[in-house]
Amino acid sequence: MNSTTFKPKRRKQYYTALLFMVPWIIGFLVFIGYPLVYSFWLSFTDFRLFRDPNFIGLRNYVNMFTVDSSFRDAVSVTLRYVFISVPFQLFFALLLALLLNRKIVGITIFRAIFYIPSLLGGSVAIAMLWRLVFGAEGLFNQVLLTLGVQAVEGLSWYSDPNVNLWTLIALRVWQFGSPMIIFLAALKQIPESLYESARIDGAGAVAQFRKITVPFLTPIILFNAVMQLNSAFQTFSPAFIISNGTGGRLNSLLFYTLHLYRVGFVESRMGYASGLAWLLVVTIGTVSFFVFWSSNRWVYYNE
Amino acid sequence: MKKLLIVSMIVVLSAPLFAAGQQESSTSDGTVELRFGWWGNAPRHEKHDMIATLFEEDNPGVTIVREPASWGDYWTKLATQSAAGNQPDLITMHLNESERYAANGVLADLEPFVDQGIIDLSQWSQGAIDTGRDFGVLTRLSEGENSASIWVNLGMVEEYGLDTPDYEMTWEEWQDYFIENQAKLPDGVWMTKDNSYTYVDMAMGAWLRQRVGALFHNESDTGLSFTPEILTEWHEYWEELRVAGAVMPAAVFAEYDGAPREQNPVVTEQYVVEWMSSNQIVLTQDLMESELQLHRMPTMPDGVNKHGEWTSGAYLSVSADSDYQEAAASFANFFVNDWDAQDIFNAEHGRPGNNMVAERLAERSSPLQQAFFQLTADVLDTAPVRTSLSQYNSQIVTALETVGEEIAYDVLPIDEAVAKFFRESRTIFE
Repeated sequence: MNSTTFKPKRRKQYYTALLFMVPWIIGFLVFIGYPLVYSFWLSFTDFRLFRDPNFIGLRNYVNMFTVDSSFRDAVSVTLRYVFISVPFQLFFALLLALLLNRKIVGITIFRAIFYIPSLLGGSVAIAMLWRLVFGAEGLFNQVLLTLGVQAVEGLSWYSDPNVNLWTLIALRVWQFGSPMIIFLAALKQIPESLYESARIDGAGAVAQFRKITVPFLTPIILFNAVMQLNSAFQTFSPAFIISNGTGGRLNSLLFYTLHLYRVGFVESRMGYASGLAWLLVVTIGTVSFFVFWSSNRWVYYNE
Repeated sequence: MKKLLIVSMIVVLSAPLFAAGQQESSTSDGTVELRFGWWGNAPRHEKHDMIATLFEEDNPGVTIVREPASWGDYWTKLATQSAAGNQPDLITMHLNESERYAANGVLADLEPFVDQGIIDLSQWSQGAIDTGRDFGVLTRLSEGENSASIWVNLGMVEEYGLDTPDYEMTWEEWQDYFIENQAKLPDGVWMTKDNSYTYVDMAMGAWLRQRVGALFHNESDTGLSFTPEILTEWHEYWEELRVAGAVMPAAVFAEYDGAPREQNPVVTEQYVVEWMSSNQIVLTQDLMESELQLHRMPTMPDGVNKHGEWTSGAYLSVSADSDYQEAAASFANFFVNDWDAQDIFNAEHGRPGNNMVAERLAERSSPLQQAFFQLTADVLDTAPVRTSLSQYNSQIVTALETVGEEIAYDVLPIDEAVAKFFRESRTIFE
């Protein structure tokens, strides 16, 4: 078969494939590509809803760092939230995965039970429920008061600006289910023979964990860390519900995405909001990059 | 055969893309479909639904598509829809939002429908009609007017032996009243709340209209209407009340902010005096044993204006893009003028624009509802019409709330917070 008879057929196949991709390509261009490019352009304008955008250069980005003190609050709240909640969440997920990896009767039931919080998740209903549980007169305080912790009297865990971020951190850590399942699957992949030979060589439980379990889990820790970092940076609904969309007193729950929402949809400043969104994209990208970059030093690929 | 398969698969796969564009096409059998958007909670949704059903029964061939939403979602949704030209035929409007929609041609001019007799305003006072104008054009029909007001819990007044305030008192008289009577209250009960950082748009808005004769912005919307000295004055007023212990501390109030009506501190009797929109009083009264009394916002006899509050409410507008403007106008007319519709609506948003309807509702209402109608009429008579809202209004109010919180929580002293506000607000008008 020479090339002149071969080519048209290849080309035909190529077009057919392209034809099949058309719906997706159109969807991507219309719903993702175009808004993405347009919002990047808008971030250099003073666009407000209903008003034509004017190009203002980098002024939105400059204002973020020079005059917008709510932006500083939002960055501080979000960074604290992300870098406290994600390590705790991964720690709990791993701990529970280790516990649930035992061969006990009825273990599947326990696994299902521990996964329930993640099914309920950060949904609106749960955030509403947490308002009731962590209010000044809420269940949590009543339990603490019966235990004799008088200091919490009248303390509202979701409205007091000194503690309410911690309540949201707890809400996130509580959703350890999906990283837990992934850890559990990874634990099952570690060959039992490694543990057996380690035991024969006299390695204790701690040594087995440090020398076998952790190295084998590092790729999964990396995966979970990146996924959870990404979603933690973009957390919106719990803060929106618990603070009634305000960001809390003294901006104590003004998550970055909530600030973005308020600037865009409450204040109609879409140009500035686009700038905030792009800064978030760049930040998440940078953090993910550094995590991947550092992974050369600590992730063990069993290859 | 193969070709046919490929083409049909593409059609099937692409169908969802094109379906989105189809929803606006009119039904082919000559019936009219009107989309009707409003905000509210479940009981209010039910009222709107019943009124729509009533209209559908009277007008076979007209179907009303209900598009209810909560207050916050409603405006997000409407802004997005309007930007795309896909807003409902019937739009529920609010005074704080109407101008930007009117300025962008989203709202139809209703005057032609009044001329044609589709909308009947013969029973309306000129004041009630004029609240529905944006830039002089009739774009809205009032569904009911209300205003900022002060409520006093008379049960608590009696229980603790407090003085009864007058219907109208000056800012100083209210301040004295709060401070003097706080001494009679036990721990954990306060005279009122701290409006320096909450209810800012209404309380400080009214105060500014008295103090400088304008809302937050200057006439040309190029800057603020007030100076650092005036903002300091406002915060010092509330500082005196905080020092005297007469207002619920910020940390305690945070718990009730945004809480449902039945947990409002004036209902749970944690403070005596509430500041809130007058139309809320009837529903709130239903939740409590103690009697509530309605008062005007504080007066300022030596100010630019003696009274600062203004009436506003919900309004019905017709989309300028609607294919069925006439049918929409006819529904709007039915909504605000028909007794059966108003009987159901029952002054949900305040005193109706139609005087006959208002009188008929007043006849059968409680004394409190009558007091509310009276107060609304008084505000319409004595307070200046609210001038247009700054396009930066929500940004200014948010910034004022933020520095207000920092003062109330003792994070910043007044002078530093005021300086910070003026430093940051300079970019607002850029």
